[in-house]
Formats: sequence, C-alpha cells, structure tokens
Amino acid sequence: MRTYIARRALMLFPVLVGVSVATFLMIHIAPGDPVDLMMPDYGTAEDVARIRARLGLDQPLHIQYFRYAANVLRLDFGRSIRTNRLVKNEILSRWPMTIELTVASLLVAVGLGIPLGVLSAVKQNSVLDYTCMVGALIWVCMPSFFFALLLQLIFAMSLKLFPVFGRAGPPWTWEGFLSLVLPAVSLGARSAAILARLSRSSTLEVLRQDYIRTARAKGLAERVVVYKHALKNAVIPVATVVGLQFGGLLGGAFITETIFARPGVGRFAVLAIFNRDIPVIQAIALMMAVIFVMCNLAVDLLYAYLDPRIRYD
Amino acid sequence: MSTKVAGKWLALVLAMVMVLLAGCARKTEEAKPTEPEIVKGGTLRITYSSDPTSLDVHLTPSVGLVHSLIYDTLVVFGPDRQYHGHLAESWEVGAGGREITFYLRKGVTFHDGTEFDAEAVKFNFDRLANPDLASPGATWLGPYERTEVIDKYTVKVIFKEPYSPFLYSLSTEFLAIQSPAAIQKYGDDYGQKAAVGTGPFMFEAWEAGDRITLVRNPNYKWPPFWYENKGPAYFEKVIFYNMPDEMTRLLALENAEIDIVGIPTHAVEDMKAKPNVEVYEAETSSVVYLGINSSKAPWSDARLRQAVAHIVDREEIVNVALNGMGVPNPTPISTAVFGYEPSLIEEVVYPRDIERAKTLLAEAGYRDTDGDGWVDKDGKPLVLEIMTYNSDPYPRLAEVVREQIIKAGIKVKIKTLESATLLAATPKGEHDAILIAYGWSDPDILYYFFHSSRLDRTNRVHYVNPQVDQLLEKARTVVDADERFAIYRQIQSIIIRDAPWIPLYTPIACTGVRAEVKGFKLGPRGAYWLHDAYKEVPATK
Repeated sequence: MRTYIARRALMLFPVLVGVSVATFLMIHIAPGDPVDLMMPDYGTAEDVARIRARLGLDQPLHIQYFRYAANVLRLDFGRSIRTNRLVKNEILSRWPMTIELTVASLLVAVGLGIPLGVLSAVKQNSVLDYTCMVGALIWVCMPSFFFALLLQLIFAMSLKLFPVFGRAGPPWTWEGFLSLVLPAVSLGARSAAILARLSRSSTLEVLRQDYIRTARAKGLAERVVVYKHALKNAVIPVATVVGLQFGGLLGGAFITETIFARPGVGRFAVLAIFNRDIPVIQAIALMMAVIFVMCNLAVDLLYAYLDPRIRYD
Repeated sequence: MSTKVAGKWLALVLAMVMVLLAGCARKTEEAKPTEPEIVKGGTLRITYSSDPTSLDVHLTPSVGLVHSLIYDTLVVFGPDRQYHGHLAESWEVGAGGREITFYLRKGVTFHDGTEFDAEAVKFNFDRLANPDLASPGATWLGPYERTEVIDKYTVKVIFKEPYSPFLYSLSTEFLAIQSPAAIQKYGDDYGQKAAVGTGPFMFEAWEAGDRITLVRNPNYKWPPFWYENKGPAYFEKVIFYNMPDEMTRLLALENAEIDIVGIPTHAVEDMKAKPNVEVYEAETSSVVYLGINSSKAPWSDARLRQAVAHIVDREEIVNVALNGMGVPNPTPISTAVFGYEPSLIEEVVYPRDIERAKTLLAEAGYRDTDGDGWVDKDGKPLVLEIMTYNSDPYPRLAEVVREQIIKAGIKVKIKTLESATLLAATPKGEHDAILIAYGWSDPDILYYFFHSSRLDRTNRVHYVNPQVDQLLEKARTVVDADERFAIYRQIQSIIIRDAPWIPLYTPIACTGVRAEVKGFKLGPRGAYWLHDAYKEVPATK
C-alpha cells in the first residue's frame, strides 16, 4: 500500500510538468499582452518595453519557462504582474475560502443526493421516488447561474432569510454560516442530483443481488438488509463519482464565487485570465492539477477501504 | 416495510429545515429597526467589479473612487467645468508654458500626521517620473523635467517643452499627493497594506478580492469649494465590496445590502421603478465609435468610409440599443469634455442620406451589377467586418449598426471578441473596422488615436495624415485655452471629413443610490461627489 502511494505521488511530477508547459504555452499563444493591457490608451512604446523588460517578458519563451520552473521548484511562484503582490501569498490567502465553499457544497451534494437516491431505490416507483428523480432531472439540467439567481430571488429578496452576496465571516459564525448557505446549495445542487440518480440505480442493482435475497431469506429486518448489507456495496461506484465531483465543484466554485461575490481563488483566476496575469494563471493551474490528482488518489484508496477485495500492491 | 424508515428520514429532514428557518426568522426580526432616529453618519457601502491594481497611484494603470477618497489632488475639475485650485491654491504659468509655479494650501496634514508641503509635491512627481519605478502613470507627466522647491509652500514644475494637458493630469488621482513618509516606511507594501493621503477618508483594510474599508479622516477641513460641508465627511466608514456580477449588484442594491451601484443601460427602466432607489444620470467623458481601418483596401478609399458615415443613424442606435441612455455625438470628443464643439455638426458632419451614400459607393466603383441587392466591384461584394467586444452593450450595438449599413448594399460581418484579444489584434492592421469606446477628459487623447507615431499601439484605425500629425503636436504645446480649442476644432473637422472614425454617441452613466442616502451628487464627468452625502440611519441597537 505504501509503495502504491509513493508511486502515485511520484506520478504527480510528470503531470505537473505537463500542466505547467501546457498552461505556459496556452497563455503565450492567446492574443493579448499583459503590459499592453495595463496601459491600453496612453502608454508609449518605450514605457511598454521598459515594463516588459522589468518583468522578463522580453526573453525568449524557453528561457522564460526554465526561469519559471526553477523558481517553482523553490516554491517561488513570482509576483503578480498586475498587483506586484507575491502570488503564493495571494493564493494561500484565498484557497481556504474556495475550499470552504467547495466542501460545503460537497456536503450538500452527499447529504442530499445519497440519502434521497437510496430512499428512492428502496421505495422504487413510489411518489417519493418519482418526485426525487424528476427533481434530480430538473437540477441536472438547470444551469448553475440560473439556479443561483432563483435562490437569490426567493430566499434573499423575498423571504429575507439569507444575504444576497458576500462572505460575512467564517462558517462557524452565524452570519458566516447564513452567507454560505445559498452559494453552497446552488453549487452543490447539480452534484446532489447526479449522486441521487447514481445511488438510486446502484442501490437497485445491489438489492437484486443473490446475497440480499439470502439476507432477506434469513429473516433479517428490512432495515438491516438495506443499511448493513446493501448500502456499503451500493456506494462504491458512488464514491468514485463523489471524488470526481469534488474537482467539478472546485471548478464550479469559480462561477458561484462570482455570482455571490464571495472572495476566493475562482474570481482571482478569472480576473488573472482577463489581465493575462501569467504568474497567477500558472500557479492556479498547478494548484488545480495537484488537487485533481490528490482527489483521484483519495478515491482509489477509498475503494480499498470500502471493498476489501481491492488491494494495491 | 420501509415506510417507517422513510418516514423517520423525512421527519428528521423536515425538523432540521424548520429549526433552520426558525433560526433565520428570529435573526431577521432582531435586526429590524426599532425607533427611527435620523442621524448623519453610518457606513456607505459601494461596489467595485474588480480589485484595484494598487492603492499607490504611482503603481496603478487606473484610478477610481477609492483613490479619490484617500487622496487629494493639486487641482480639481469643478461643477462649472473649469479647473480650480485644491491642494494648490493658485498657480502661474511661466517661460512660455514650460514652467508652472504652484502656491500650496497651508495647514494640510497627511493621515499619518506629517505635513503636506512643497517637498511632498516634489517627492511625488519625481517618484512618478523615475524610470526605475516603471510607473504605468508616468505618461501623465508629459515631457516632465524636474520640480524645484521654491519655499515650504511654493513649488515649480519644469517641463522640457510646454505641455498643455497638464492641468487635466493634475486633476486626476494619478498625480494625487501621497505621504512621502508613508511610502518610505512601507516600501513594497505601500499601496497594498497601507495608503496615506490627505483625503476625507483614511485607509483601514483591504481584504483582497473581498472588500476595502476606509474610515473618516476627523481632521479633514479642506473639501473643494462646491461642497456645503466644510468639515470632515458625514460617513464614519466607506466599504467597497468587490462584486463582479452585475445582477448580484442590482439585487444587493434593491435589498438594501449596498447603497450605490452603477446601473447598466438595460436595467435603468427597472431600477427607476423601484421605490427605494434614486437613479442619477450623467454624461460620461466617453465616446463610442465605429473605427474603420484607413490603410487597408478597399476601406482605405475615403469615399467608402464617408458612405458609411452617411448611413448611420445615431438617434436610432441610442434608442434601440441603449434605451436612450446616450447622447448622439458625431464628433470624436465627448459632449462632457473640453474640446467638444457642437457647431461642427452643422458644418462638417455627413447628414444621414442613403442616396448620397450610394452615389459615393458608385464613385468608388461599387454598384449592384447583378441585382442581388449587394454592391460589388469586379465581381466581389463590399464587405465590412466589424470587430467588437463581447460584453454589453456592444453585441447589441453592432447588430443595430449592421442593420443600418446593409441598407446601402454593404455586407456586414460582426466578430465579437474578448477585449484583450480585440485590442491585441488592431496593431497588425488586418482588420476592417472596430466598434469600441474610449473615455478621456482632455482632447489630447486624439494624439494617441490619430498620430502616425502611434500606429503600433493606439492608432487602431491606421490613420496617417501629416497635417493632422502636425496639428496634434502643436496642440500639446499651446497653453492658451482658446487657441488650443481652435486647433482641436480644426483637427476634429479633418477627422470627421476623412471618416477614419464614425463617432456614434456619448454614453450616459446611470447610478442607483438608495433613497435613504441624501446629499449625493454626480460631478460633470460622472464622478461621485460624496462630501455632502449622509445616510438617514435608523437606530438599530
């Protein structure tokens, strides 16, 4: 198991090199120059050249890349072209808020999706089943910005239960919690819907297995059959999707942060892309890549826990 | 069988929801105002769409309200559209416009307690001009040579050659005066973790990506002359919230979570109908124009550009695409800016005349030979590809312009691009036309758009005219306002006639302000004038 984790961790390295080269090239291929964007109308060509030289943007591409890579190995991500602040600090101060939103929405997704899915399966073809599955279909189809707007209109504007925007504090304070509810629900709803549909079908499949029939034949209470024998096996495929959803939610957090005006990496990234703020874009791309790879690893390890037959040697 | 289980689940979920809702409801009831007690003060909440680059005005490519509240400028642009003394009480121009001597206001202190004096002015201008700083705002100093301190409250700025736009430069926050002591004390952190000026509000905190908080400067007693309030600001705090999403800003204003919000044209009617929101309107210093590449065939033929100028209907553009939130303007200078000359409209602007447009096209060899409704020459139709921004209101605007131009048999293609991509494309000169805008409060900006030395940057229509070059250079050095006006009049008349630009309109900026905010005014360039403003604050505790 340990060697497996070590091997997977080593594989992170080529992934990061690949991601950094790809982002680096993409930014340079995309039209638009960060210095030009800083001074759209009035700068002279000399001003632009001077600033480009200061930032090292006048060097050939491969030299720029190797300089960048050497710095990254020392965990130096450089300074933002736009604000001249240290990229590392900028990102470290924003990640917790993005992770907070992503985790909260994952809780919404898992906490709503899996129970509703399992219930629908257990009560197949009941009113509850139909309601959940039609609701899930609507949520899967609804664009997140539209759902966010609906939530704002109903729960903030009409019912005045939650604020329209912002992060009023850390989530363990009452204000902070209230300001997290709408963003987390709007971000997590789609994943909840996907998980509900998936756990329903997966539970239905497990419930038709022979060993369930055996369990029932032994005269076990239905509750024990479902929650002790069926559930653990039913959630294995769901766990994979939860891991992948985390990555998706992280990406979706970018939009949610913008709509609900919450501080975080997402909005920072969007702004950096508009301004061609190269060091910031690269650093965020690397962070995202690390998190995705870690999520996949975590899912694989979770398999081994959920299904003792799976072994990594 | 499992009904019980499901029932328990549902009951549990319902109970949790009810507890949650009850909690929320109680909370909102508590927050409800009790006895309304009107006081001047409170917190003003404003939005901005993206973080400023820096609060150090020497290190930012754009300045805004937040800078203007922290800092004061030597000169201000007043309600009479004239320049007035502010931190400089008066000034004298000498050496044929090469030198300006400023007599400074006495008794002004920075937020850190240090005194504002001639040394502070010299420190700021020298720092801005220092090539090592590579300041994006250095251009604002023009051909700056040096600053001399004459005595504690007198300072002389010397240029290599006369520089007429300098008063405008001085009235922008790019040349605002920052505390030299604070800049030295904070080093690289100045502008990020500290910002010290002499303005009505002091920097308190900047939570990057979230908000900027300013607190009242209790020692402020030098507001510009047009304010009734001669002392410190009424608001105790101003908080700027970073809110990129337009719809969220409008909802937050309506929900009284924000006090002042800029309103996009498509939402103006809606917001005017809200009982608790006042909508203020001001002509901006911007011009939206159709720029046609004057160096690329076939559009290098001025007759084709003039034909388009005969076709566009500015009234229709403003009414259809903007809900009337613009002033039709066929001149390249905003209706709100020095240099705007309405008499040019009668004199040189091409009147709307489709027949005349068709005649011009025919003179240039473009006729509808095959009867398909489109003009052509040597079997090729005349196509105008317009590049425009992908953000509101440009795509809508481009559609209206297209509908107008195709009436003369010219095919129009629209290409919407993100702004960075569009601006990067123009120096190559491969485009036909652009539909974009600029905002500037001095006619010197025409130098950047039409001088041939700017072909690689901002002369985006690749217009080359030695006479215009010469006039633009001359205008920069003429200090006398009337003479300067006359030169810009001549320049504009040539540009309107040659039609590398077909200016369309000057946008009207709309600002929504909560009704409980009193004393709010919009300045002549759409600036927020807040020093008389206060909120009727109902006592909440």
